[in-house]
Amino acid sequence: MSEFLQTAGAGLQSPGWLVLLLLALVPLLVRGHAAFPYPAISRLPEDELSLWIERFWRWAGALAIAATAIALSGPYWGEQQLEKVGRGAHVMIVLDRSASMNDSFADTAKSDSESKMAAARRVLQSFVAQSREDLLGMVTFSTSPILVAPLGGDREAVLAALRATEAGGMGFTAVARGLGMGLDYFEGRPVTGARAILLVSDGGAHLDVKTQDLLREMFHRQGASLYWVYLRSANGVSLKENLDDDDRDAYPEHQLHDYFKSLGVNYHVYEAESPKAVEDALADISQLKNQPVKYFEAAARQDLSWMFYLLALLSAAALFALHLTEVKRWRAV
Amino acid sequence: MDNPDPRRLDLRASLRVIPRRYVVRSFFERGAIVVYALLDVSASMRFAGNAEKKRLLADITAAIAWSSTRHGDAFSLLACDDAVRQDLFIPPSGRRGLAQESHKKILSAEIRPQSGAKGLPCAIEQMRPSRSLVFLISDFHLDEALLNSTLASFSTHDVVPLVLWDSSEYRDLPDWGWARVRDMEGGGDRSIFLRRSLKREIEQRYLARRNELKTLCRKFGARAPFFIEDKFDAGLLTRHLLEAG
Repeated sequence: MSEFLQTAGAGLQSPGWLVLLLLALVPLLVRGHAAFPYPAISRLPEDELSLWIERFWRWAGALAIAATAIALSGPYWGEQQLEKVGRGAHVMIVLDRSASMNDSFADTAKSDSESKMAAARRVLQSFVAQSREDLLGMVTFSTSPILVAPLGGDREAVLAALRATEAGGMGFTAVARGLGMGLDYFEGRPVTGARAILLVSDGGAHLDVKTQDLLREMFHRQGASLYWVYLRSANGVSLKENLDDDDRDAYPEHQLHDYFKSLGVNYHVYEAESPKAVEDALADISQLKNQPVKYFEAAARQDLSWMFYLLALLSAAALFALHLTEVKRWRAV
Repeated sequence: MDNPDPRRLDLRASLRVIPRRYVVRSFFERGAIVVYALLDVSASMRFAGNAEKKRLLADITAAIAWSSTRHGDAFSLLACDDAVRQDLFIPPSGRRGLAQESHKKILSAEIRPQSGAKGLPCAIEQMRPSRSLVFLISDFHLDEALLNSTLASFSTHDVVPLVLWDSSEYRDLPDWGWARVRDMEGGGDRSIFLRRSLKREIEQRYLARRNELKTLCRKFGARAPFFIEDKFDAGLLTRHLLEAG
């Protein structure tokens, strides 16, 4: 039985309520209900139907209490890890939420100055909605990284996280820590598909040597490729420009670009100056198809408490019906 | 003139009465018999349906007391639950006011809850050995052994069983519905779902019991039981006694 329950994924949400099951004994054991005094019940016939009604009455009371106790403890079944096969990549979106993301794009030709965050959000949303078979996860970062959705097939969580970025960005750009957290989610998972870090950011940051080494090592260990969607600000520098060595230090974007190039993993940069460019960049990434990806997904469990509430309601209704038939006055009407 | 016998003419008394008339002596044998009212005051006699059994007990006892003292017989009251109730005992006497006294005594007496009627056969120890008239007043909801031993112990006397049943015990039942009933003498609970067939069965059981009591009383040499339901009619009892005698 318990093995069956295990495989069916049955369980209780809050088993503490089961203590109330003891109360179900009360209707079975308690004597001393209101009764009509009668001189000698040995003169009354032992009626089978009446006996069964008495039994039914007691058991219905016990059942009503027991069902309520079980319903309160929240029974469910069907929590299962379903094995699913996907054909997409493992994509960890690392989204910049620093204050600069609220600015508009470099390409000011267009009058509708959509903020970079809004554009990134819009395009990422359509990317997430389209990529049916990818495993997606998401980390946002500003001053420190925040995990919003672990790597998995749950698109709703990622979409909800994207909607949540409407609150606006704040703080600084901690690229290294965001990347580190994103990479952490590949740890310990079987390499069944291409791994990609999708960094959506509008600027660089200085990485010290120690951090650079650490990140490089992580990239190599996870075998992840890196896609950088660089959202160029109005006053930002283009990565395509070749700068003198002296100037390079002044632009952290260039430094970061150089560092990524030196990582030794598959690295692409998409310099997006307008919302349109972002779409193009993501269209490329969604082309990443590869070997079938096996992954497990938790099937939503089914709540069974309504069934017990219904049972309790029915028993209570039966009790009430029985109560209505009770003789109120020991007289012929 | 009550007793026109010239040999018993009492001249002295005749001279003293106003208005003047002849007075004749008449002689009665005093205390020819003792009339006992033997009451069952077990817990089931607390039942009050369409009539209160305790009040019926008092009424019937008072009627017997009044009638026996009036006829010059001694009257005695005995009441039993699990023992003979000494507080309700009135020794045989023919004094006046006995009816009122016993009526008051019974009404103010407390019938103990959960008590049976095991004291009934022991009441014989407090009775005079000469043959007397015993009114055994009970609901006769006794178990067979106790009923047999009671009737057997009084078989030397002239026993008139008076059976107090209430119409709400078996005839005047609710038509339909579920009820729990509790035995007044601690016999437990029972659930009964009243409906036409069950009501008929209950009534038939009581009718069968009535016949059973009749044969039982005949077997022990008692008179035929007199059934009193809800209301006591002394005239009917008199007729019953005359018919039986």
